[in-house]
Amino acid sequence: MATGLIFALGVYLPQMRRLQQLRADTTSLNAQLDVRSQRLKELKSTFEDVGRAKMTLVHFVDAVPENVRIGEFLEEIDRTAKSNGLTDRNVVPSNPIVGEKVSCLPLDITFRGEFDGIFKFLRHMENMQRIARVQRLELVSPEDAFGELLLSMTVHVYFRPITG
Amino acid sequence: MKDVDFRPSWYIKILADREGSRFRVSGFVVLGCLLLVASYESVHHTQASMDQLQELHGIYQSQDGLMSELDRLELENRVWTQSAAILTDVGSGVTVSGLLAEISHLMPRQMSLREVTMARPSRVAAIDPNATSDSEKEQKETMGAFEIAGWAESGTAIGYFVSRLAQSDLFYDVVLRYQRPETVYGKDVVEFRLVCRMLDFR
Repeated sequence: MATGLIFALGVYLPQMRRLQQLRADTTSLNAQLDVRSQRLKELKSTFEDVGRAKMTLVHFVDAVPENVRIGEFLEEIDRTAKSNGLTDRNVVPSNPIVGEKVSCLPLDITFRGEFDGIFKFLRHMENMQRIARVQRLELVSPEDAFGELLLSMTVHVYFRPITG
Repeated sequence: MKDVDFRPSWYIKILADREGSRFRVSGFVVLGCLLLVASYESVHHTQASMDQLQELHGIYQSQDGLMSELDRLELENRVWTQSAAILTDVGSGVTVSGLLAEISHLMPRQMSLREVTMARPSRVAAIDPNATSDSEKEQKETMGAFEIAGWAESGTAIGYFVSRLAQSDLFYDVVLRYQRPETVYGKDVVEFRLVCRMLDFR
């Protein structure tokens, strides 16, 4: 009896405890592997999603650049205004509207010109790679100049706030 | 007749002891065998479990590279998804040039516009309600409103224009504010002002 007891306490029970621990580890590892398998099933689709997104958003950096980078935009709208015969050009930037994901610089712009020139200017500006959105627009035909229009508008030019 | 055992009692006791000892030995042998089997079984199972665990560890480690690649891809995907959302938020919607083109298309010949005003809410504020703006004007903007004023040769032309605007996919809630007779450069015209809302795809 004593031998049996010694054997049970000294060999069998520790061995069984170890076995139990090993089985628990195996179960836990199996569960982790299941989770990984589920995630790995999505690897292909994630890879394809990223590829598609990259293709779609290839111009994103130019459309909504990091930091305000307004110089090129101002140059281009000035060029476009000139080429469309718009006069009395006046561009006044306001304080930026800062958001967590995206911010914008409001620009108050005024021009004088014919409807056709103003329309072409607006179409060009709204189709530029850099995203600019007309928030407010006033197109008025002044009493003193027949055929000419006064354009006053607020344009929001978007940018991403610098992170980190 | 009753059997009579002629053996002495001490001899009978020895015999009984011998019998007991044999049983004890058999018991020990059986117990020993059982313990050996149990010991073998437990060692065998432990070894098998260890092998299985090791194999699983091997599989787990072999997936490490793939998992880090997946993590990287998922992060990249999140960034691109966020970018796509930003582009959709700020870049979509009707363009003002599109609205002007639609108005000039819907407007009858017997009409001329004197004033077009439009204001719409900021997309930054829509995306991020906590966005900071110093501009008072920004807060006062009318939400997605469009106002058109002009002269028409007759009230019929204005009615035609209003009904065509109301049928357009880009405008809704078209309301004629007023129309009144006016003489401009010696010619009798009807002055009008109307307001409507524009669909901003939001």
